[in-house]
This record gives sequence, structure tokens and C-alpha cells, in this order.
Amino acid sequence: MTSDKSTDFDAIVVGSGISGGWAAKELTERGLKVLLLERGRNVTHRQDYVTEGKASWELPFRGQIPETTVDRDYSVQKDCYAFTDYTKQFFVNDRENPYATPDDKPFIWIRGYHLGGRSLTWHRQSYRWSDLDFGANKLDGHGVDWPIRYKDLAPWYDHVETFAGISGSVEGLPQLPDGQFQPPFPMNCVEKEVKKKLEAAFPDRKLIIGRTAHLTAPTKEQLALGRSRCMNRSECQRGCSFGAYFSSLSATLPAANRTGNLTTVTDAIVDSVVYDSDDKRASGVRAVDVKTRERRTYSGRLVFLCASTLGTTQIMLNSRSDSFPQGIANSSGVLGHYLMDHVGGAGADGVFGGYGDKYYSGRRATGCYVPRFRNVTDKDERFLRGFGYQGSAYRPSWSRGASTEGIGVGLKERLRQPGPWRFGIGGFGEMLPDKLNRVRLDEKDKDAWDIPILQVECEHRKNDHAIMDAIATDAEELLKGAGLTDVTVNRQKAPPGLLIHEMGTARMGHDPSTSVLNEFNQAHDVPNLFVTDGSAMTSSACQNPSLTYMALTARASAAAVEMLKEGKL
Amino acid sequence: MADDPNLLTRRSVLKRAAALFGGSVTATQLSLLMRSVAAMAEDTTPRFLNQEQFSMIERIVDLIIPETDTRGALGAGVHHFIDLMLADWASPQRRARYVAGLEDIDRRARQSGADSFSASSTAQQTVLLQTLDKETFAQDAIDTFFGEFKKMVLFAYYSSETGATIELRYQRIPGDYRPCVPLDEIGRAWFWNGYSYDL
Repeated sequence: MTSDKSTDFDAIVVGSGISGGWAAKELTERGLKVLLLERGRNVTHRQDYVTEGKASWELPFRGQIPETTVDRDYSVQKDCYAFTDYTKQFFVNDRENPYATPDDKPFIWIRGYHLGGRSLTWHRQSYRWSDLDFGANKLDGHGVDWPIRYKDLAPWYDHVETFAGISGSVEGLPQLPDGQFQPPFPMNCVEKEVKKKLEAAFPDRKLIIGRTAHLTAPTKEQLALGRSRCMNRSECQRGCSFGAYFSSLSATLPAANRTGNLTTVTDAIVDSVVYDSDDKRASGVRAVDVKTRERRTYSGRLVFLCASTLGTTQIMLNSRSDSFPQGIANSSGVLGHYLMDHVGGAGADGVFGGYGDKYYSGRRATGCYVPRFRNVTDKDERFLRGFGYQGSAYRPSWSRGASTEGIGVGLKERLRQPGPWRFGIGGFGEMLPDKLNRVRLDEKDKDAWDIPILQVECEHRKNDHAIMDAIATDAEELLKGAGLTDVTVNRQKAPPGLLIHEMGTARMGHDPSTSVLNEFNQAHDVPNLFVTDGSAMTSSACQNPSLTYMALTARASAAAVEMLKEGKL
Repeated sequence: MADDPNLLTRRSVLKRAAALFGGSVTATQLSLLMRSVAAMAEDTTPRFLNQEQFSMIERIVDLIIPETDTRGALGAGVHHFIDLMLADWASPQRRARYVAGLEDIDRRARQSGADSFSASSTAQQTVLLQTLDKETFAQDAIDTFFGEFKKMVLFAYYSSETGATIELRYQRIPGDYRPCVPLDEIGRAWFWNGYSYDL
């Protein structure tokens, strides 16, 4: 593509995670010369998966990280379920990457600064959103209306699912639209039994196999990219040389690289977007080289911010000019506001009698899913919106010995066999957008790169708490109804951030005075600036959001190239 | 099996191994065994614990997971691994809990009339550990050192190569997921050390 102005690149993509990888792929495949900037180190697919396949005894502390190291360097990351000695190379050092929260309002910010970002460590659950979600704000008046509906995104869901490879079952549920699926992982015998009983006891509820970004029947395109089918190790967060789960490193970046149009620069922290007030356009970005501390400006005709929800908003807030004293594209003043995560932490677990002579083989990297059933057709008086559950049936192994009495031969003999079957679920609930949940720049405290750190102030509010209570109450009802015994209910409430589905702070909307982005993730104020990561989200739904970031990014990339061709940018 | 594992020699281990595996030792088992024997022949001086404390944990781990038709905690080197964890992994707070906890167990042994925990008979030691175990799992029990220690012993044993591959079953690359197979076909519980395990 030729440029009438001299710029370094046609497009600059900031961030190489799920969204940035997709932007790089879609823009390069449409002929644009793209610069991809990643703040962290380079990670080479396969070669840098240094703990992949290792057994516990092959690590010095068998997966445990020295406690003083955790306290000093990983005071936040340690709360992530997947953070271990096997995976710590894909999590940030909290001491070196500070942010601030009020003492009484913790926000858990789980991050990975390296090529591929959190696409290496994500949990890979992939669900479409429906019009129940895109219409929710308009219906109950919380937040502004989404400028898109399901029909706008449906072809892009098709597009990203086909390329990424999502395994799942066709269910025909209006609140959880079906997609372009590879064959589903099978349920084990107890999951099938629980499904039968649960669906008989509650005709409005379903137990389905999880939809996950794992290859079960790779396509020619996926094989050509060096990807192959899932080996059921369930050690995904260490990296997967089979390329069996979708990540930027296994999928989108190889696709972008084969066009010959991609330039990737790692160790380059973008601190701001440059605004040209004459052109009324973004002219590029300013970045600092982590290794040399050298600062430089890269110019481009398009800028895509995909630096993660809070990362992108931090860059935008820090992009101050005479035209935008409160941060670029922030004439509305809502940039940084309406931060959401999913609400969760609660759930239930019980014993399933029988099937003592049955077991499974292999470590399936997905559980099952109970799609939302509240406020779908009926109105629930307890709360607005809804929640879903993830869970599975399993037989506990040796670790159950630590919570039961016994020592000696009897203990050893008992732990040699798997325990009785159990079935457990945990909820993921929708969090309402609220202006008071927000981030801003700390004007006094700066990081090692002289960038003002983020102050995050976010808490669960009335409806969020009501959802969390209902998650626990309904989980108990669900499990008892499905025939489980000795049901224990977990009423724990995870602090905001810990579900690692942070969204919002640069939301999409119809109205430039109440939103940052339009229906194509294009800044209302700055037409050649696009934001396609989680910060764009107008509401949170209750489904895992990554698949929707992929679809939004692909859609925005296509629209941006179209506008560029038409000379509108 | 040996009352004092420190007296184990290469020869006695191999002799016992042959008996243990019914006279037929596979190449894998043999190489595993040779490696543990080699490790045994290396430095056995504890790095964090003093000799008295180390002797105590040797006895305790042996009583929690004894040798049966498979090796127990001692055979899997659990005592050495715990000492290594205390030396290189544990926080000062945890180290202090271990030192105080072992002191407390020794005090309890002396209160029962023994000169020390190590000097008491196997039967007396077993009774004391069973008492501590009962206290740990009693209704409304607060966190006990014994509970913390037992968790560590189980982790150290089952995450060892012996625990994971001989006592339990482990697949490095399963390949397929088979959702419903006869337990007899697998025979034992699977070992998997996936997400973070809270010690």
C-alpha cells in the first residue's frame, strides 16, 4: 500500500497479546506494512518454553517458588492459579512494575510482559456473546448502549474461530451462540451422568463441554502454521510446542510474518501516542528501549492500541497535548472509567456416588460449562444480568491426604487409589459498568521509565455482591438437584482483577460525549486511532471475553484498511 | 526394612530392591534406583536442620509414609528434600515454625517419659504422631505444625520420581484423553502437579 505521506509504517500495533496478534495478522494480510511493538522480551515459540514437559522432580523445588522471592517480586502475581515455578517466566515482576490501589480496595492485576503477552497463559475458554449481552446496557440503563449487535460480530466470530481453532459442541442456545467448532472434547462418565440429572431437574439449564481454543482436528491452514492436535497434557501455561492451543506465538504472529509485512520490535515500551493537531490525527507513538533507555518516535498512518485493558488506557491517559489535556481521544472524560472484571470465586463441590471402577486417562485441558440461565427468559428478583459456571467431574489424587486423618500404611494404601468421584463448579458473573470504578495516572509516582504509574480504584458494588451470593446459592441447588451428596459451598468472593477478565476504561458507544470509541473501535476524536483490546468493552457479560476481543480486532482491522483505502483516514 | 536408614549401603539397597520387585528389576527401575543410590552416596549432611532435627524428621516421614511393597518416604529421599526446601525455599517464618514444631514434638515425647523423640520406641513415636494427627483434624482445630508438616511430606513423596511413577501413575505426554476407562486398566491414582499447590 502506498502512502501519500512519508511514515515509517502503514500501521503501528502496540502489544502482542491476543488482540495485538490479531491486529498484526489482519493488517499485514491486507497488505499494510506493520510495526508491532512489545514492551517485554522476545519469546521464541518452542525454544523458550523452558519448563515444557518437565516432571516435578526435574525442577529444584518441584514447581514451588522460594517464598522470599514470591514475597519480594510476585506479591500480586502469586494470586493467579497458574503462577508456579513452571510458569513464572511468563508473569511480571511486581516490584519492577508497580501500580497503586487504595489500602481497602485491592485490585489484582495479573500481567505478562513478553512477546505473546497473556495469550501464552490464558485459560483458553472461548464463548460467543449474544444479544442478551450486547443489549444489556440499553435494557436496564447501566452503562451506555453498545454500538454493535450480535449480527455485526457474528461473521467475525466465524472468521476468528476458523483460524484459531475452537473445540466445542453445537447446542442451539440463544444466550450462547454456536460457532465454527472443531470436535468437542468428550465428557467423562460422571459428567455425562451429572448432565443427565441436572438437565432433568432443571429444564432451563444445561451442562455442556467447555469450548476451548485447542485443536482437536487441525485444518490444513493450522497444520501449515506448524500447529497440531492437543496432547492432553494440560500444562498449557508453560507454552506448547505442538501449537495445540491458540496463542499469538503459535498462530497469529506466524501468519503475519509469512506475509513479509511485519516488523516486530520487542523491549520497546510505548509511553504515549503522538497527536498532530494540524492533521487531527495520531502521527505515531513514542517508545523507550528497555535495554538502551533510548527514546524514539515511530510514525504510522494507523495506530492500533492492543496493550491490554489497563495498559492501553495508561498509554492514552499519558498521551497529553494541548488538544487533549486529559489524554488522547478523551474529550468525553470517560477514559479510565467503567472498569469491570468478572465476579467470582464462589461455587460448590460434592461427591458423586458410584462409578468407583471407572477412571479417565489423559489430562483434558478444559472442563464443562453451565451457560447462563438467570435473566434469560424469566426475571430474577435478586440481581440484574447473570452468570455461568465452569467445572468438571474428577477423582482427587494424593493431595486429598493432606486434608484427612491418617498416617502410615493405611494412608499410603488409601492414596494409591483415586478418591471417590467429585463434581465441582465455580461461577463467573457479570459486573455492572460503574463510573466510580476507574483508573487514573499517579502524578507523583513514576516507574523506572518515567511513566506515571496507574492508580486503580475498583470495588464490587450492590449488584455484583448479589450475583456472587446467587452464584453460591444456585451452585448448591444445582449440585444437589444433580444428585451430588456432601455438597460444600464456597462463598468466597474474589477481589476485582483476580478473574483476569478486566475490561472497560475506553469504552465503545454511539455518542462521542459519553464514550471513547465508535462501532469500529475507532476513537471518536482521532479517526486513525483504534483500540481493540479489553479496554473497548462497554459491558462485561459473563462469558470469557478473549474470543470477543479477537472478533472485534479482526472487524476493526478490516474496517480500518477499508477507510484507509477510501482516503478517509 | 532398615531401622536406621543411614546404614543403608549400595549393596543392601540393591539386594532389597531385587526382593522388592520379586527378583525382576526393569531397566527403568534399575536406573532410577542407581540414581537414588548415587544420591545417597553423595553428601548426606543436612543443610538446614541440625543432626538431631534431621534424625527426627527421618523417623517422622518414615512413619507417615512407610516402605511397603514400594519404597516409602525414606526411599524417595523425602527427608533430604525437606531439608533442601528449608535451606533454599522456605521463608524465615516457615523455618522458625519447623524448628519450633520439631521442638514441640520432642517436648511431647519427653512429657510421655522418653529421653527424647528419637530415643523413644517406634510404638511410642507412632502413638505420638497419631495423637498429633488427631489433634490436627479435630473439630475446630487451629492450624497445627503437624498438619503443615504432613502436607509437606505428602508433597515431597508424591512429587518425587518414585512417588509419581512407581507408587502412582504418571504420563508425561498422554496423547489422548479417554474419558471413561476401567480403573483396573490404570491400576492406581494419577500423579499430576499442575497448578499451584499451597504448602
